[in-house]
Amino acid sequence: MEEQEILEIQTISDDDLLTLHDRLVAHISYLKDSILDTTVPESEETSDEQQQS
Amino acid sequence: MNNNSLENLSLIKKMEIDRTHIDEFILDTDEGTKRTKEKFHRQACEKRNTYIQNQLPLYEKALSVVLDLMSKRVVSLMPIDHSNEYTAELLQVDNLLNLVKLNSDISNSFKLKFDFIISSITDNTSLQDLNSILNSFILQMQQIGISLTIKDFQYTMFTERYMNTFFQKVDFSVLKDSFEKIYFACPDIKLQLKMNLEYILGKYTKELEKYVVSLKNSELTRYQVTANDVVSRYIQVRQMVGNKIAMDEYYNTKLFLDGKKKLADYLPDSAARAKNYDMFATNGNFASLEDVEKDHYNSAMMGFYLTLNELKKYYSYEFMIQDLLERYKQKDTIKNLYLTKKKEIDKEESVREGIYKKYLKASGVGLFAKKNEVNMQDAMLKMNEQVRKLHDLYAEYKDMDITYHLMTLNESATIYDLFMTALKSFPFLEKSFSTAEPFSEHTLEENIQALFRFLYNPNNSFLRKINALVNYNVTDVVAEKYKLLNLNITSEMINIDNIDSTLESVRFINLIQNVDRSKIQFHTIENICKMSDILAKEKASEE
Repeated sequence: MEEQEILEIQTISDDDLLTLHDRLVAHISYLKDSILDTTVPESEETSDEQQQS
Repeated sequence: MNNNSLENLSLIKKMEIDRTHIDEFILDTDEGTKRTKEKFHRQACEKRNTYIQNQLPLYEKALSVVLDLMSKRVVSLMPIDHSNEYTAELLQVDNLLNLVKLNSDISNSFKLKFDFIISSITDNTSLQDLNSILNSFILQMQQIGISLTIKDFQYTMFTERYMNTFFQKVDFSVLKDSFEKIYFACPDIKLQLKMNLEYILGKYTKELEKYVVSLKNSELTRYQVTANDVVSRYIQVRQMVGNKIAMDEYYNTKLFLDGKKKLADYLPDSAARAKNYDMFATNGNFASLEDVEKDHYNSAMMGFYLTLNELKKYYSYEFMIQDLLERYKQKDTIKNLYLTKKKEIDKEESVREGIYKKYLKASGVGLFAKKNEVNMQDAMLKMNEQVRKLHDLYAEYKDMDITYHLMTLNESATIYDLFMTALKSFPFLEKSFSTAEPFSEHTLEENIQALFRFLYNPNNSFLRKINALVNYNVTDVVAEKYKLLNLNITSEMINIDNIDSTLESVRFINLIQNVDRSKIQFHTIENICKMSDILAKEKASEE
């Protein structure tokens, strides 16, 4: 996190600090929820190998 | 900063960019074979995931900065705790109340707490407790410069015998043996010791008076107050400290922070707040009142809160007023009976002394005296009978004591005057508090202290105004007063059965008024509570 960003946060009002907190929590949650599953199903890989042979 | 400036924060902008980037990330392609499409999708997902994984620590760090800042904000927002200052001021209030008592018309033995010591001897007092009570009495006498000796405990031959052992400072087992031996000859030994203590107070009346006068003068000098001004000084200091505590920002914030009061109910838009305010508005809708009407309402409610507290306490003492009024009716017949009873007691005390002298003679004490067991035994039996007789006489005399004092009241006496007269009779207070159920949870001293506090409460209004000897209904008088001040109050709302629920609503409004009159605002309290809640949850999740 940049120094400028920290300085900006330090000057905000109490109400804004609470809002910022809520938005950060929501954003972190959004980011975590946005991570997609990239594992390939096993059956699919096996069928590929069978086709190649 | 306002909400717009929040939107200008680099961090907020970053979050928005992030969201757009992630939401608009192309994860699929229409081109190629199924396998190519799947490969594209997997790679795109991995790419987006990598982006997210890189971003996450930035926001987690930002959140940690925000939480750290919040923790500092809570400390800076939290009002200062003035408890130590109040403790010192409340001690001064207590000391001034002691001075008020010292300067009042109550008896010297009451002022010096001897009455409390003696009254603590009851049928249930254990031997161990009895010994410590005797010790307290002797020490208290020493404090006022009187060193009691065995000569002071010659009320009966039994008290003398027990106290002889007592003064030898022997082990408890020796005292117990002595008590048991005496007990078989005198089952009333506890009662006789109690009466002996009362007798000692009578014997040293002048010394007690001298000590009280000297103590009162030195205390008045210490507090730099005159005897005439001591009550007003007490009331002034108590009111000042009371107001400070009621409006104390720290205490009021803590009420919400510790969950003793639900903050959401007290905030301006709350339904609970509106309901409580509407309850006392004559039109049933506080919000619709004009500003001037709201000011009148708030001012009347402040007075109503204080009066309702006074009324609630009054209800708990009302049984005393009823008793006093009944006794007042008998005052003229009691006057002569009281004085006659005193003469009778004096006569019977002389008889008791005579029995004691005969006992001494029969014991072989004195010039030419010869020991005579039969006469000794006879004197002991007579003494037990005589002390019982005296005890009954004293009981009758004490019962008339309050009625005798009531003779000083005139027709314009207020309820306050009636209570103040009650304070002059310790036996009346002792009897009242020992028979009334709600007071059994506290000691007699605590109950009497509470009565003093009630009587000298700076906010008392009707107590000092309503005539006690005219048949007024105090509930109606109070209800009428606040109806005149445009509040929706009925006698039913504040009668003994409903006063608690009404007081709950009035207390609710009073807390809002106290916060509004103080330096802190509800919105600040709300922020403190929200931040504290977030920090507590964060701490709990770390653990």
